[in-house]
Amino acid sequence: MTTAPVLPPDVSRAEFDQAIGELGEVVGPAWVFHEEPRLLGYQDHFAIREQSLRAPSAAVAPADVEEIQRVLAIARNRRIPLWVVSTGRNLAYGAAAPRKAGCIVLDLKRMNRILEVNEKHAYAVVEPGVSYFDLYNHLQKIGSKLWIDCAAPGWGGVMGNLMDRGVGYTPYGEHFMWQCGMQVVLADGTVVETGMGGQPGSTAAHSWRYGRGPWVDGMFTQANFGIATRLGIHLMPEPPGYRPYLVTFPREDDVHQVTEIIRPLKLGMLIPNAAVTVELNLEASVAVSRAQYFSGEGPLPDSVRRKIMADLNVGMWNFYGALYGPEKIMDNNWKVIEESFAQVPGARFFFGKDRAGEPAFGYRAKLMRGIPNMTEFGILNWMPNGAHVGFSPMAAVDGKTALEQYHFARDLAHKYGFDYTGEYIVGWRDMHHVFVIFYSRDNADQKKRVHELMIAMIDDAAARGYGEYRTHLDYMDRIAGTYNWNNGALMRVNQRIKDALDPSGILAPGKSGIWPAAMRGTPQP
Amino acid sequence: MSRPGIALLVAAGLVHGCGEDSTPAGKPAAAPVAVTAASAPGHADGQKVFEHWCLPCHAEGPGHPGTNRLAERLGVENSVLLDRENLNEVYIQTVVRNGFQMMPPFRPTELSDREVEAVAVYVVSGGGRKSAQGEKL
Repeated sequence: MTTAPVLPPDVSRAEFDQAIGELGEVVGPAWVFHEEPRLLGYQDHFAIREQSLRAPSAAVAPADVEEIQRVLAIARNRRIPLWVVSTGRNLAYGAAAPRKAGCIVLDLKRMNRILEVNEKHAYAVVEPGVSYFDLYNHLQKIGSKLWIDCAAPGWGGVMGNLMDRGVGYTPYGEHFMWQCGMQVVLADGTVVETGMGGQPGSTAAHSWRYGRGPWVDGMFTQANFGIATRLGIHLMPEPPGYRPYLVTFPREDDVHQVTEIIRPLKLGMLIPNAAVTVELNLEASVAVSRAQYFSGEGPLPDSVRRKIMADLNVGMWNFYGALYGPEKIMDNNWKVIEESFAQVPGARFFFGKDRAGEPAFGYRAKLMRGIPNMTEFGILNWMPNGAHVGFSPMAAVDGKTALEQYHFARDLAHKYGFDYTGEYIVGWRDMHHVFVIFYSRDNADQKKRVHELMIAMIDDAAARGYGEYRTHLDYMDRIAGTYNWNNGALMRVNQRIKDALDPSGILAPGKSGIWPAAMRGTPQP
Repeated sequence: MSRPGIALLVAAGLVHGCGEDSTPAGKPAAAPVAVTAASAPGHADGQKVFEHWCLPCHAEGPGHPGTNRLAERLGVENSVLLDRENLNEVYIQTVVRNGFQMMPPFRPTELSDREVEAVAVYVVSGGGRKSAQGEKL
């Protein structure tokens, strides 16, 4: 008999035991985990609320598509919901834990093959378990001249991050934009190749993403309509030159003018990459801890922030970008960029030689050319026993918007006793405003205040016309509820798709606020 | 779908765009192996695991989150994992599987029991610089 402390919803211990046995027959008993110690890695290590709210009953790790199909058959037959993860390493949004307690985690980490690298057409085809480190190391090993684009922690998954519409920092930073071809297993076991892959023997499956007819790939991102088991990802050819730079700005409200300057430079492609405008506290957190400067409660006093700024020789805002291409083109582009940012009083300009040995510049310089590393995970050192959660509203590349979002997030953070620690990641016409709230894992009072702060920010943002692009498990329903135009027409269409493709409701209940029919109407903890 | 069906599907997938410009690669992950089922993991096994999974956070120098954290808690002299004198294998294995403070647990699909054992031996040996008893060679 199993001893899992949590069971799937409406499933008895006896039925669960039978399901565990059946799953073991499919993947091998060694790849079914139901003892509590083996499930620790499937908990939300940075849980803000009770960890048990997101506790799985078990985890199962198939090796291939056929095993996934057989696992799905068991789940359908026994009405046991599955929560799908690939590398399961995004700790700011819940890691490998399920939205609903009792789900069995379908862990795709074993499917870790790099199926193809095409040097001529500059793409790779990967399975869900491939991390950024894996793909980067492989390209180095085979002598490839292709770059990857990675999220900040290199242990993240190429597919998982893309399927959750995450971002990186090279010119290929908008990850989903560079996806081309996807294999999806539906809840009934049907395997679908999207785009050109729908044609047997297609020679352009990873070169032209749309095929013909409706293009469905986006429907499977941030969703629970199917299980993506493979995808093509375009890779950036190594440019003839690369020159990362940092521009610092001395005042908090400079983010307005800086953003106004960035917009035409981005639209004109003089800043080709997903550059970042980083606020002081977040900038400092990879190099120093808060305790090194301040032992009190509440947000850092302004005098302390100015001391940090001086010690680290940075600004209240810090813009990291990079030049790519032949030397002459980089020289010419830099003239325009420098002249533009020099309009901000007190702007200072730095290249690699000016910041040698500094962790912040060092890891940003790696990220903007697709070298995975773990330096940014060090932001957790800002607090003892540190944890974090992301509040991530979208913004147009607009100075007034950037300043307003900064002000309201900062003021609410201060009201609840936290530092503002955030950045704007600049896309083509958008900015991902990521406010990373830090707290201590063992501080119940802080976690209570983080929860209250998150709710206040989500509601305040929605009232101002801002919506989040991604969130932690705890806030999926609330954020989905802010996308409520026309009596929630968007959610209703999502629910109709869910009911059509997954009538048993076994795939990732609650992902992005989309619940199967049997679980709708009742608030889920 | 039957097994032959899957085989065809996978084959078709590999055909997409594959040609003289392509390099198929990769292999499935190994199953977790009980240590008793094979010879004890060696230094090279531990080193491989350490370099892939641990070093990005625990290498010497700035920009390494684990090293920074240990410096804050235990002082710079105790911040580099391979230089630590007071670690034992059970402790290392427990931390890897359970997590510790900001370091999250590692799942059995990421690191097999054998790999966890190998890396524990490797760390306690200081990356091969100390004997099993902890004495520096």
